[in-house]
Amino acid sequence: MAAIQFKQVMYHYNETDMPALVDVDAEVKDGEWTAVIGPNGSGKSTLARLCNGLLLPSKGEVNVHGASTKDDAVLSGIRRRVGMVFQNPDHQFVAPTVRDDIAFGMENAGVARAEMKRRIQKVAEQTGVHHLLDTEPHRLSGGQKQRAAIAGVLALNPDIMILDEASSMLDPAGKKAVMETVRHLHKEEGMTVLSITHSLHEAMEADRVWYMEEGRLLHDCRTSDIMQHLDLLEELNMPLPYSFALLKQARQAENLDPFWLQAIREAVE
Amino acid sequence: MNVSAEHLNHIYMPKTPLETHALRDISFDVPDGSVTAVIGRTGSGKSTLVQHLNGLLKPTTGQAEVGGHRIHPKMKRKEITALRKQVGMVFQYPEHQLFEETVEKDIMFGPLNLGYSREEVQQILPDLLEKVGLDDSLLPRSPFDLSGGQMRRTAIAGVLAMKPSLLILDEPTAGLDPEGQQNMMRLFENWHQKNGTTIIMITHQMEEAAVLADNVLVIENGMICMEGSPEEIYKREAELRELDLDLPERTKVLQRIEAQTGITFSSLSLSPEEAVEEMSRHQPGRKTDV
Amino acid sequence: MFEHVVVGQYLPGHSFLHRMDARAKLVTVFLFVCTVFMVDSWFAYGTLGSTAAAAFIISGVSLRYMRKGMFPVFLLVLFTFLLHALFTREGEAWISVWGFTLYSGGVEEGLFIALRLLMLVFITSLLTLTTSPIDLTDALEQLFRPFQRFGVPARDIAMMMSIAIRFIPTLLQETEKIVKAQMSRGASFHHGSLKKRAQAFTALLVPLFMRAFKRAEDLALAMEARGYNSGAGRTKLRQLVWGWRDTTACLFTAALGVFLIVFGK
Repeated sequence: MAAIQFKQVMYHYNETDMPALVDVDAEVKDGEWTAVIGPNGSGKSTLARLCNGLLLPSKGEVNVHGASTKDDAVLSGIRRRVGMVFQNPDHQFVAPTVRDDIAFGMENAGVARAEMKRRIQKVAEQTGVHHLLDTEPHRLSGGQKQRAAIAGVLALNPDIMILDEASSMLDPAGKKAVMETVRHLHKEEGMTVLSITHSLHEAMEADRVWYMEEGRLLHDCRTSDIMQHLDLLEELNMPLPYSFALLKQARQAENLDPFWLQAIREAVE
Repeated sequence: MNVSAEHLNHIYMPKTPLETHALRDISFDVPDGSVTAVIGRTGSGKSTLVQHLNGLLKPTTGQAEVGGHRIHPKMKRKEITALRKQVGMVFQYPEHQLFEETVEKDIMFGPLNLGYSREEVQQILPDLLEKVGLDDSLLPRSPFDLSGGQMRRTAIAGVLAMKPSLLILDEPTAGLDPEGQQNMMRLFENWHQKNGTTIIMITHQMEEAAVLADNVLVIENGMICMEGSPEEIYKREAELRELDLDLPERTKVLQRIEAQTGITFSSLSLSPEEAVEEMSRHQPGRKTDV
Repeated sequence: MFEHVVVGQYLPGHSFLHRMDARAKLVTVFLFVCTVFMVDSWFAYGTLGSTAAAAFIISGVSLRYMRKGMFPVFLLVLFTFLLHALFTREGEAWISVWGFTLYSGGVEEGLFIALRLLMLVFITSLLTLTTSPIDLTDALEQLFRPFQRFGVPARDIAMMMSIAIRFIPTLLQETEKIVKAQMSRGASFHHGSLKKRAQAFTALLVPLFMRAFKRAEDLALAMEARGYNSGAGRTKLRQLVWGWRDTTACLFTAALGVFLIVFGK
């Protein structure tokens, strides 16, 4: 079964404005990592917020493991199964220390104290913040805060993790650490991941890439296919990282020996 | 505007248990009209360093010189005011400094404080707006109604309106999407070419340093540990990696192609167009590693 | 710059007072304050004063910190004393200077009021010096929990307080950054005409508020995503443990209060 299913989803922030999402029809498959890319304002974050019922579709349905987010009776269960990490590390850290912050979601869910303590140890080790448990947020780097946020989400035993540009405000070291954590969760723990990003490099780590523009999901393909066919590159309406720009340029160049295209492809991979 | 520092030291909260030696014996020289990238890890002292250059911080010992202005431990308020007229500073996330009722008023805040007349600013406004890529229909709007990108442009226009001869940028592209980043770098590149403004730019993006900078200063632990042209710096790959710094993507890719095919590019910071152009002029098939 | 900020004036330690349950400390302080207001004899004040002093010695807090915290209040106390001493006309007249006559009753009343204020500030400072803001918040929440059925949102208030505490350093960092940004645009916070300075402060406050609103919005979303207000019975990781120290301290203060109110006339 699909982990998350978007069925003919439309979303309007208000009646008069342009819709933020138009006819999105797609599935996040169980155990897969899907990356969503696209320019600012393309509807990526709106899409993310529909996944755990923070927003409800104006038309259509979003189903998580078959249950609709519109159903109030299952919503809190859905929120527990779908963990969400936001963009700004400072704006999602609620508690006075890392330990308390990890506990926050569990407290809300009514988890018993002994169980909380056990899970805190476990998730702190998974995310590499175990040495920071008693540290206050203003002594943490952005990357450490984001990993604490991931730990807090993991503590609720979710099977889907949504990352809404979770690394975009971090320095290179922080980005690396967060990506490392996500990669580990996906590979070793089989976590289903939906990551919103504007970095094509980050997206290439995923199994699938969705490309969005003006509220529409325009492309849905396997990342391995991008390197095979490169057609997608021609159609992306955003600046490409150097390696992809070079590939695109080489593809478009007339009378360039195919040898070079192959060389670039090897270098990029 | 020449910028230099001599044995600059900065200690936060000296003689307390929390004393931190943030800058240690920093000396450098930046020629007039050049672009310098300052790179280093978070907390390495980059921001502390550039804040000396417009008198937001005074050195504990040593000195810096910007144009004819000397920045020293006992600097007076008047000297600082004179210095600030010459030095524009764009902080990280500059849109956080917007506060006026309209875009126009916010842009004028800086220049009016420095003693320019309203008419003088109004005169340069159309040209300025065009350069930062803002439509003049936005002038009477509240800055808080603008999109994130427009807000940042407004804030930057507010700094450029002071006509600084030295422009300091603290991660000007942080948090922008790729298109925003590209536009922002183009903005500063154009400004630099048209006005010859000296630019000192803190960045985490090696790619940006490669494209724009003439010089690179690498700072670690409050000390300058590498200094030179981007090409020279990128040759010291192992050292960079030790500092958690990566080579720019273009350098890595071009290096790899060189290694695979035996081609030698004229530079390791070629644009994709230039690189493809050089490849097409080259006879393939001379693989060195066969 | 603000990495080393200490929120509130809490000084970590291991004294008897530090190890007391925050709820017990609140109850003790409450009883003490009630007693201070209900007695008015030298004997009672002397006893309460010595008790407070003893508690201070037990706490192991250095006099320097206490003095620093008390200094601004001290000026207020002095002012109150003078006000009462000069304008109360009771008892025998002592001396008369510049048309003011000092009466014995006035001095006595002034001293009483001043002592009262000093003891209040002293004992509450002792509370905040030996209790972390978070423990205090937890304790308040639990003490007010019985009132929840009368519509007192104890849990939400506690949550608000703890979020406020958590964001103080963030706010300070942000303030520093905006001050610097505006200063480099020529704003002047310390010099220049009143109008210019007022403008500089607007340039600081407006961005601070705008950021705070944005942050509140984001935070609310993040909290919702993590199931806050989901209606499930909430549990707590932090645990306040009531021990022998706490019972002893509460009983002792209560007994002292009763004794002084009954026999201290």
